[in-house]
Parts: sequence; C-alpha cells; structure tokens
Amino acid sequence: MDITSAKYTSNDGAESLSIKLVADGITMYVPLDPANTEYAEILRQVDAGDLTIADAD
Amino acid sequence: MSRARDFADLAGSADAGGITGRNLVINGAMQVAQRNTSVTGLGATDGYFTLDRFKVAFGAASAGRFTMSQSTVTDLAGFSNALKLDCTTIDTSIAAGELFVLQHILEGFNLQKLKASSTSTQAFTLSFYAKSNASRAIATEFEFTNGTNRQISKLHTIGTSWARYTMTVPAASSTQIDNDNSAELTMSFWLHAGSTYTSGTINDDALAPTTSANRAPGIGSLFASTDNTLEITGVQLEIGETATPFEHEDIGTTLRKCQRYGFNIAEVVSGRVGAGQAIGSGSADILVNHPTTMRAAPTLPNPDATGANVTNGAGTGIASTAIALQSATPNVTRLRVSVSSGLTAGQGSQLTFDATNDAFLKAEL
Repeated sequence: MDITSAKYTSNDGAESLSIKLVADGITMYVPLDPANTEYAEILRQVDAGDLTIADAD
Repeated sequence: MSRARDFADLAGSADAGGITGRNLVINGAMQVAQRNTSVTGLGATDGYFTLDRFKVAFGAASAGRFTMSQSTVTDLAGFSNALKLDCTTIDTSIAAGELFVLQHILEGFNLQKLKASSTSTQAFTLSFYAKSNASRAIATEFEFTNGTNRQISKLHTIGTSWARYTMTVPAASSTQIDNDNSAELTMSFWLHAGSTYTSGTINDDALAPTTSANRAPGIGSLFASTDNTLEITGVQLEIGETATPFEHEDIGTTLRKCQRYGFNIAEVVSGRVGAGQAIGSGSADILVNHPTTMRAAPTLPNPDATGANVTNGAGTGIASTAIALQSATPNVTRLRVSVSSGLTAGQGSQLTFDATNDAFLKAEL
C-alpha cells in the first residue's frame, strides 16, 4: 500500500478514533482497530519508520 | 456424475463435516457483487473491485490490464453467474517479479474445522468450474499465513467449454490455523507470473515451506493477448479428498456472509442511511448500523458527499459537503457529515443518499 498521507481525525477535543488516509491515490477513513487491514498496514509502516501520522487539526 | 455417485459423495461429506455448510468459500457461485458488476482498466492496484470476496493482486508493475466482471452464464447447468477476466492490454515482456492472481482469503474463525490438531490439518479439496477463450494453463495455490508447512500448488489446463477442475491438499503436519479473525489461508488462481514464481518445480505434492520459484511454474499468461478471457464459477473448498457436488445456498445467506467483509451503506430503505444528532450548525454525527457483525471495524474508502443530505430539526434536507468516518466498531459506524450551515446542535438528524450516491464500508482481509 503506497501511503502518501495519514492524519488523525478531530474528535471534538477527545482522543482521535480514526485516521484520514490517502493510499494508492484513494482517500479513506480508517478506524483504529488492529484487525482492520488498512490500520494494520499503517501500524506496520509506522513501526518500520516509513510513516508518521500527523496530529488532528 | 450419476445420482448414486452424488449421494455417495454427500454421505462421505457428511462424515467429514456435514451435508450443508461444507463450502468454506463465500460467494462461490459468483452471485453477489455489491461494489460493481464490471470494472475496466485493472492491473495496477490490488483490491476487491467486483464480485464479493474475490480479490485481484499484483506484484511488480506490469503493462497488462484487464476488465473484471460478473458475467452471465447460459451454458452451465445450475449456474447463472461467473467471474470473468478479459485482457485488454497485453504484457509480453514479463519482469521477474510480476504476478497476477485472483484470490480468496479465508478468515481463521471459518477454518477451524480444517484442523486435525493444533499443529496439523485434514485433507481438503478445492473444486471449480472454468472455461477460457483457448486452452490455458493456470495454477491454483493454497498458502497458510502461519505454520511451517504452508504452501502447495497445482497446474490446470482450462479448456474452451465449462469443465470442473479439482485440487486435493493432503493432510499435513506442522500446520497452523489461528482461531481468530485474521487472514489464515489464501487461495490463489495464478494467471500471470515472472520467473521469480515460475523458475522452479511446482510444489504439487504436499504442503511445504513456501519457495517462491515453485509457486507457479508452467502457467501461461492471461496478458499474452487481448483475445484472452477466463471465467470461473462454482468455487468450493471442503474437507476431505473428494469434490462433492457444489453446495448452492440461498442468496440471503450468501449476502449476509459477504457483508461481514463489506457492504454498501446506500443500500438502505428509502435512501435513509442512518440517524443521529447535529453537533453544531455545520455538522451532524450519524450512526449507521451494520447489517451483520463485520470482521473488524470497517474502513470508509472514497467518501462522496455528492447527493447526500442531512435533515435539520424541521426535517429539511441540507446538502452535505463532506462525509468522514469518525469511529467504528464491527457493529456500528459513526459518520461525521458536514454541511455549510443550517443545523442546530442537539437536534435529531438523518442522513439520506440519492440514487447517485453510495458509500462502501469494508472490513476485508
């Protein structure tokens, strides 16, 4: 998965529960569930040092 | 096949796991296509595009492109649909790392009956119907995610008329199937591959550690000509060494199984997607109940606000400017729907889609 951006979504001041992701040219929203395949890939790329998730606005 | 043979095979199947519910493949009759019935220009990006639960995946970049569709079957008793792949751009300069596979990825929870013990598996058999525009060599492959002995392939020569093809995977030791919602077994149809996957000797004897070069030796390439087509249906995977008659199931059962991995939230009565509450003048949180418990909390790809409306306290629809997934569980998704203005915090709200809008929640493997 070619991720070009990842950013936590705003949750009204509370902890973010999803990520706005652009990958393979597609914008998507990914919940923070390790069983979700996109989130698992995000975690893999973060652990590998290849991706940083931006803070929410 | 005679009726006596059918009954004998079914009796054997009953011993192995039951007359009904024996097919581990979801949507094997290719009846459910929630996303699209046809997509052109595929070949660059992995994913699920047409028939539910059937994924296409690629390796190194290939020039090959194809159309994937749910085709109508008129010449195979018992079936009305098939998955069709139609080459539209050739690739005759095949780099080593290229591959094109049609995959069906199985969840651990659904595979526990394959176990003989925690470290061994029973024999199981794949069967499918296929036809092509010309004689075509493909390979089917099983690869477990975990364990030591995890991979096996088989070559098939597909003819120009419908025929049934089978592959039996012998019982094996040093195998592992975790009892969870992860991807534990991938079934692949190899349709195009470079030397990385074809330069060895096909491993068709027994489950063994994966050696890339032994995964698909001997296959042809679907990308060799724009004349090339392949249709597949009646895909069944069952315990035992015998392919029993295809287990047809009612469409409601198949659809519900598919919706564990994805569903179109626009497919809701009267266009009403969900209800919730305005959280300010410019946005509302809408809860979408899933039709069945999904495998995992789902992703919302390609959120499209066009044609979406949010009602205010007076019931007036206000055009949506953006839709985002705020949070999700396997059972419910909370959408944050934005409008320019006109909502009042605390008032009830509904999200509606017109006929042009859709949004797909996916929890695929």
